[in-house]
This record gives sequence, structure tokens and C-alpha cells, in this order.
Amino acid sequence: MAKAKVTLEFNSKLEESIKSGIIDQATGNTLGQTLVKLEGEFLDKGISPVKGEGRFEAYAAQRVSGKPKRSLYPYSVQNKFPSKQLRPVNLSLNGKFRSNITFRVTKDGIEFGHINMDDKTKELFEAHNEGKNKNVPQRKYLPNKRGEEFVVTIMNEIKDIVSKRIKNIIKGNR
Amino acid sequence: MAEVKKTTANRNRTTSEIDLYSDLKSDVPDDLKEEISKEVAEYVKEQILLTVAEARSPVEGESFPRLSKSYAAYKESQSLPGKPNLEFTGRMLNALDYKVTDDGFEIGIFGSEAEKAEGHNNFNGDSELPQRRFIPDTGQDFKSGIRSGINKIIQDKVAEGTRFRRFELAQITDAGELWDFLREEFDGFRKSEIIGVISRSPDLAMQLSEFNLLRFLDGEG
Repeated sequence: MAKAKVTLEFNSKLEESIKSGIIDQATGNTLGQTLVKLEGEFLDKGISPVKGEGRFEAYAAQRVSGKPKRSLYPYSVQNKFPSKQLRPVNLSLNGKFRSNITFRVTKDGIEFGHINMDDKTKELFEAHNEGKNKNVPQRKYLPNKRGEEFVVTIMNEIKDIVSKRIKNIIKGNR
Repeated sequence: MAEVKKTTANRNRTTSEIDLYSDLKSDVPDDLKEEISKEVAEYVKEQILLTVAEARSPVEGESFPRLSKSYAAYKESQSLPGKPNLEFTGRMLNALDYKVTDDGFEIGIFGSEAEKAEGHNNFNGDSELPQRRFIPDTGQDFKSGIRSGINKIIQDKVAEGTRFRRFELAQITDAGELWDFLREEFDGFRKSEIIGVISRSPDLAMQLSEFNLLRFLDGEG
């Protein structure tokens, strides 16, 4: 199965950065929390946090021409979830799937994504991120393949956090 | 930096052409320009989508007037948010794209959705819709947060390939010598920009740290 989590590395020297104390545990935690927050902000707006992916493809009811049938998603779930709208395409219905996205700090970097998954989460991950369900368009939210990375906006914020840490070191506040 | 050189509004495109390099104090190597332009354009596209989703303009001095009550109610009846986020079918925002140019990039709506985009941006001055500009006209700028992000991307990219020469680092003994060295490496950058670049790169920070030189960045030079 494809990896459901990614390791954020700035470069091959991140491990040395962590060992040298430049990226300490507290900074690692801040980085992880920021990743979770920003991932959520992008998903809330129906935009992929994976660089180059752009906006998520519309739900089924908006992919047809003419008046869509009420059997199409999200109309099909609105009896049970009346607040679920056509837009934004936010990969959220009851919130459980997205709340499974988390992080942990390891010696190699920050691991981010589905650290632990139940079967339902795995099914949704494989459908959305991996495109393995032919009835559901692929909507990448984790850059888990070689060559993929987070959007520039997210990487800029990550660098800002690292910058704050290094400036503290420069001032002698290890 | 990020100056709008020209806008175009016709049946095929509603776009702004952005010049990234004319105002820069430091020279950017030509082989880096395309890479920088692409990265900045990608960032600006992300920022436009994020800001518009909040029913706000990414353009300095611009705002999005509220929808009329009747239209807002109509959107909500169609299971869409009743706010001016420039989205109904989603086709126009899906068409937001960019092309890299010699001086930077051109960003906006290309193709069949261009006329709809001009309706919102009103570069030609004859749109009857409330103006909801999401790309800047000549004489305008992106909001300060976006400009700051653009600045950082350019500086980071210029610094990315930097590898300090170890034998030179080994000879540095005080803040003055360090700053002479860094000003030569980052020609045209202000002191605060040099600190910014180094602090945003663990790799550069570690190169200096190896020779116990980070402490001098806080010193006079």
C-alpha cells in the first residue's frame, strides 16, 4: 500500500540538524502543529496542499451537465448531513477522516499524515490520495510520492518557523 | 519587486504580467530566473485561491462587495456558500493559471472563462458587475503578506545553491570578517535579508555553526 504519511525533510542534513540541536523537539512540535493547521486550511477551501495540484475536482453533482440528480453526492447525504455543500470540496463529512491527519517528530524529521489508520480511513486515503476508487476523482492531500512536495505557501511557513529557531540560536538562546 | 507591467482582457485571457527582476538590487543569474519565476507564480496562484475562498481580494486596496441578498439566497439554495467567493460552477477558478515570461510570469484566467474573469476584474472599465478584482492592474500590487512571501522565495532561491568555502570560514575570527565575507556572497542583500536567508536555511546555518560563526551574526558588521 502507498505510504499514508510523509517525512518532512529540509535536506539531507536534517538529521544532523536535529542532532546538532538546531531543530530541537519544541521546534519539531511547532512544525508538526503548523503542518496540521495549514493542511486543514487548504482542505477547508477545497485546495490541494500538494504543489501543482490546484483545486480539488468537484463532487459528483457538479460534474454532470444539466440539473443533477438528488442521488448524486453530496445531495445524496444531505438528509443526514444537511450542512454538507457542493463547495468547498473539503474531504469532510463527519470530520473523522480529517481528524486522523496528525504528526510525530522522529530522528529523520517530522512524520505527517495518517500515523495510525482504521479500515475506513485507509479506504478513504486510497480513494482520495491514491485515486484507487474509479468512482471517486483523485484528490491528493499528502505529497507521498517521489518528486511531490507541499505547496509553496506551506513550505514558506515552515521556513519561517525554522528561521525563528535559528535566530534564537544566533542570539544565544539555545 | 513584483511590478505589474501589463494587463490583458479579451476573449482568450484576463491576465496580469508581473515583472520580478527590474527593481531588484542584486542580480539574479539568468539560469535561476525561470526556476524563481515558476516558484513565485505557483505561490501567487495559491494565495489568490486561498484569499478568494475567503471572499477577500488579494490585491492591495481592493475588497469584494457583498452579494445581493437575492443572489446570496439563490447560491445557498444550490448548496453553495452565500458569499462573494467568485464560485458557482467552479470553472473560472479552475482556469486560474500562469505562464513564465522572460521577466517573471503572467497570471490570470486563460481560455473560455476569460470574459467572466474580466467581468469581475474590470480592466477595460466597462463591466456592469460589482468589481471583485483578484489579479492586480497596472499601478496596483498584491497585499503586503503576499509581497513578503514573494520576497522570501526569491531570496531563498538565490541562496539555495550557496556553499560557503570551508577554508574561508575557517579563517574568520570576528563579526567584521564574517560580515565582509557574507556581503560578498550575498551581493546586494541588506544585512537583515542576509540574516533572513541564513536563518531560513538549516543547511547554511549549519555550515556557519560548524565553525562557531553563528554567534557573530548578531554582531556589528
